[in-house]
Amino acid sequence: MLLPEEIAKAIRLMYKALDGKASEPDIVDSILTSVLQASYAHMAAFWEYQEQSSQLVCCRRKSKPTGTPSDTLSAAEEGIAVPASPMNAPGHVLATQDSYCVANSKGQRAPGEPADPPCFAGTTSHFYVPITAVQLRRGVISVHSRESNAFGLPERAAIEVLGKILAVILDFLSKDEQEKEMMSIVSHQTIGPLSGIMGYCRNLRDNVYKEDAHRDLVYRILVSQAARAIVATQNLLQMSEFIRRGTGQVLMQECRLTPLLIDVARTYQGEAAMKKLSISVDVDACEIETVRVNEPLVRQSISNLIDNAVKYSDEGTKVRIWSTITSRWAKVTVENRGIGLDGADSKRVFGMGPASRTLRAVERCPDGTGIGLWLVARIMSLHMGKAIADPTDSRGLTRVHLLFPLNVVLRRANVDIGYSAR
Amino acid sequence: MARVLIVDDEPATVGFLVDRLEAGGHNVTTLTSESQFNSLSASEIAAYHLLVLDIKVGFIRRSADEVIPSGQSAGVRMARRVRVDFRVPRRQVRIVAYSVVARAEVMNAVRSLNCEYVVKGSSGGQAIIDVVDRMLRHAK
Repeated sequence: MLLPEEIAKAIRLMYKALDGKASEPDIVDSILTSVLQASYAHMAAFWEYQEQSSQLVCCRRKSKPTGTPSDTLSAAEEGIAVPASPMNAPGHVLATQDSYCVANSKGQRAPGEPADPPCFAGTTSHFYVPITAVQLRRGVISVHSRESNAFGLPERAAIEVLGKILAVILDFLSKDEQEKEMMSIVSHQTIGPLSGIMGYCRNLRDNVYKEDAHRDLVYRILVSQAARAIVATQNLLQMSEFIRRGTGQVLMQECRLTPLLIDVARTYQGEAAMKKLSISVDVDACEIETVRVNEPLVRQSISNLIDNAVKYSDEGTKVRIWSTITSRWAKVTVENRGIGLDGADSKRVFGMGPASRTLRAVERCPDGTGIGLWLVARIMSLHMGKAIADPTDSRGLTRVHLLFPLNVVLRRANVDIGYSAR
Repeated sequence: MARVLIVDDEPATVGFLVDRLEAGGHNVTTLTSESQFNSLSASEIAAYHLLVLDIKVGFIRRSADEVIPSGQSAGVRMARRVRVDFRVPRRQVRIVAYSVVARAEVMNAVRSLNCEYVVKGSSGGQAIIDVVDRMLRHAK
């Protein structure tokens, strides 16, 4: 079995990685080496870092540091095609000669590769454990032993635990990177309009605008650019606030849902009028009266959904909001008719940043940050619920739902179900 | 008057530059992406006196559907297309490339292509105006 002190060491290494002192592959190397090899002296540990650009993955031995240039063997020298990546850029030491091989994404050797790469030479039993973080395979641990029948149930269980620890670490490191990238993008979006304001101010000073009408237009542009900068800053503030809140406990309180929906919808009436949209809360269809949630965060979620619906609806259409109770979830639904969402997009829109945005969304509203729905998803996970989007149906309607667990419902519309607000 | 091509997807930046240049009597064309720029032929590009390029054009507006090539920034690639691929010299077409932050490798790449590099910095759009005004004085 894995030794508890080795697991503790892995946790310490993870903290070291989070301080930014180690790269993702390096930290996994260290953990595998220190934990697995200390627990099982007869085993050789490897992990395969999956490259997104190819089915092939580099397999690097973790039992000892990479060698000096004189005892290394490049992929080209081995005659093995390895996809270009920072890991195998020219001049980068890929691995030592006795520890290099290539495997496919399932941890199997690629077709045509030598049957017994040097790193596995002499091993008589092996065991693969996938490292899967948030439904994405991040790599494979390959454990080999010179002892036959080395992998009994305790060893397999222990290595699977190690795989799960590594998945959590990789996921955490990945999210940390995403959040840093998001900060950078939002900062960029703040600077854009501010830089524009500076340019327009210079034009005003240099008397570029001769006519009153033109100066009036520039005034409106300045106001809208300032508003853009404020919104971008607010997004950044909300995101950092949410990240901070996400690490702590969220205060839940009793909240009347339908008035909340109406209140949020009302704030978008002005913008909706400009687009000739109508926004309505279908009060008659609302099945939920009172819930126990974090009201400001849920307000933010609903606001983001309505904001998106307004932005991406076609002119003259309707945005409709209502709540329902199913056998598993208490749902808040926002429905609109606009640019639409196909099946693949309906999942990725809850990701973070511009990469989560669909091309149609980018075309309709270039200034979106890709933060809104990400925040919604995070808020819902804090409520032990989730946010989902239905692909656009044959009538052109797109529905996005907030799914809360049933135990947040304190009172159905006109029916007391017996929960009490504590 | 000069013919100027602006490649930027930031409406505010394009807006004040177009206002200023047109007020000065220049003929201005705007593009919002690197791919639009790449559709121009060598002779079409050589017809301009000044190219004003955002180094990170497309950076903010990307989505998962839009693949952003890794490595060098869009502005550097566009400048390289003009100077290296099309062999258009500086005396024929001047190029200003700008970005928000100063990165040594980008600055060196831009300058090695005989282009002017502007960091917006705390003066924002004014820094671009200063350089564009100066280059147009030379172009006249």
